[in-house]
Amino acid sequence: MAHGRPFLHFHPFGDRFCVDVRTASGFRRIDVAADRLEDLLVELRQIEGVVEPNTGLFRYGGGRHEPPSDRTQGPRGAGRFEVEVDMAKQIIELVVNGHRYEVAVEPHWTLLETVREELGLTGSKEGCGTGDCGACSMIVDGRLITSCLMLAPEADGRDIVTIEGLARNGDLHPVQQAFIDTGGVQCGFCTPGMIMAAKALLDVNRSPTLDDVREGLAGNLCRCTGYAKIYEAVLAAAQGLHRGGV
Amino acid sequence: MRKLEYFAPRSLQEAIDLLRQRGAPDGHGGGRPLAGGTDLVVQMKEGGAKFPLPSYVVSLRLVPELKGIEFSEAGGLRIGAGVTMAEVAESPVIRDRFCIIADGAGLIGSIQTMNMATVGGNLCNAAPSADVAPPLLACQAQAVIAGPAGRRSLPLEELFLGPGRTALAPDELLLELRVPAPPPRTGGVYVRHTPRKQMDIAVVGVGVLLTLGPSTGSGQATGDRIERARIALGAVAPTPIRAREAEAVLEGSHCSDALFGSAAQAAAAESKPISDARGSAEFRRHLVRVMTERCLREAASRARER
Repeated sequence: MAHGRPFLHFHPFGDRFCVDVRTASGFRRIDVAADRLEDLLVELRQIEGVVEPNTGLFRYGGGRHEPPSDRTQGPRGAGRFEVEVDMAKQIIELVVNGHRYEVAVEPHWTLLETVREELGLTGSKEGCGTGDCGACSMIVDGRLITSCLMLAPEADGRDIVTIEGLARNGDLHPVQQAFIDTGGVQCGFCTPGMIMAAKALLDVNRSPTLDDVREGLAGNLCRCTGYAKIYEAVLAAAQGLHRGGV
Repeated sequence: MRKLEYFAPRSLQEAIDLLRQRGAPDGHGGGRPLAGGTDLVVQMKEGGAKFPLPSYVVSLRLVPELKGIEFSEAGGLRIGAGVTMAEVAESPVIRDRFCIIADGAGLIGSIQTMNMATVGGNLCNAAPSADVAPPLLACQAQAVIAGPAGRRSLPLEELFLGPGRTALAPDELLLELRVPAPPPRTGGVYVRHTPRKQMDIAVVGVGVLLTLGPSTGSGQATGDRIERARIALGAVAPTPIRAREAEAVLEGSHCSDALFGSAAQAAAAESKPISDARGSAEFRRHLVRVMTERCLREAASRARER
């Protein structure tokens, strides 16, 4: 926290942000805090879409030089301001393939849309959009999920791995290499999802049987291959993992 | 998807307050609690053909009261409504003591679905085919509900009013399921019929929980007295149901193929299936009979091992 700046804590609530303002030197500083808040709004307005034009700062708790009514929070000076913000967008934090991003999202966007269109990572595909085909599969906090069914704000603060995050220093992940080696790819649209599902399976089961592979990939549809080469690729990758010890 | 507002409360009280203050779905918007999203997000994308589109969602992801699986012999099993299907299917205590519940949770959708979908979501979506409903009904689960006035508890069976309809008020949330510890020599199984093993919806689901009397020592597959029988059926009525007539056929009698056959017949008779794309009513009734009979044999066999 920069010296002299009030501590601002935002909680989205309704169509407002509630802002707890805590300053170190008593209630007189609340006005300073409010001024900082207005500065912040000006800054936020620079980011397109975050703050709608009708947003304003409302100071609760009496006149400008009176202490706010809520005196319970903070040891010496505290107050609560409510800023009416149209919740068109909210800022979320994503860690994608080890990189941290702050993204302004509309709450009805899916994680898939956000990663593809805001972060430009277009490896994950939208097939059905209803969680049936698995083309959008990502690994979130270590679990395989369909990112077309996860609202973007649901991914706030979470660790996400997409197909773009599998290669290391230019070397393909063993599952990726195995898909190439065995010819497990035809049109390629389902491939990123298949590979993510295969990776998630091999992360918990290093010696899968064919049935394990079928089950692990049951949420991923391929309309080209008939699956035989895909299963072969996953089994080959599992063997490679044993040999290579990746 | 239509625009909506999103809230992520960090406590149960805050979640209930949001639902109460901001209004319920009424055909003109209102709010919906969001759990795993595997049903709700699909409904929102499909444009509210069956359900009014919410104008806001209250995410339950960060509500700590909805998490966790706990078990004690005295207190029984508690499953937080926000627990995922994968967590249920992987839980050592559920796999060991309540494998009928693990059976159901482990069948839902795909790996991806099981990692997102929650027990509470599956139940509150109130599909007649919900795969965790028959196992929990057979285990006589109590549904604990939290609302503005505090908590109330009701038999899970009474949560379901019809397809997509539950006894929850718009500002209430399903908090947890409570299941008593199974007596000795209790075994259960849930099976469903689907054309495809995964990523499919039950044509019929059957859950059976049997408690046997003391071992006859004969080592035979038949002869044990059935102290208690619970049979629950999915996808054969507007809600998941108990097959009480079939249970009555079994209780107090001794295990035999003939007994299982007549109980299965009774279960088929008391099911009330409809004909739809997944199967005709006649086919479903046939499945109830065949599957109930198989489940009874399997449940008796699992009970003998306890």
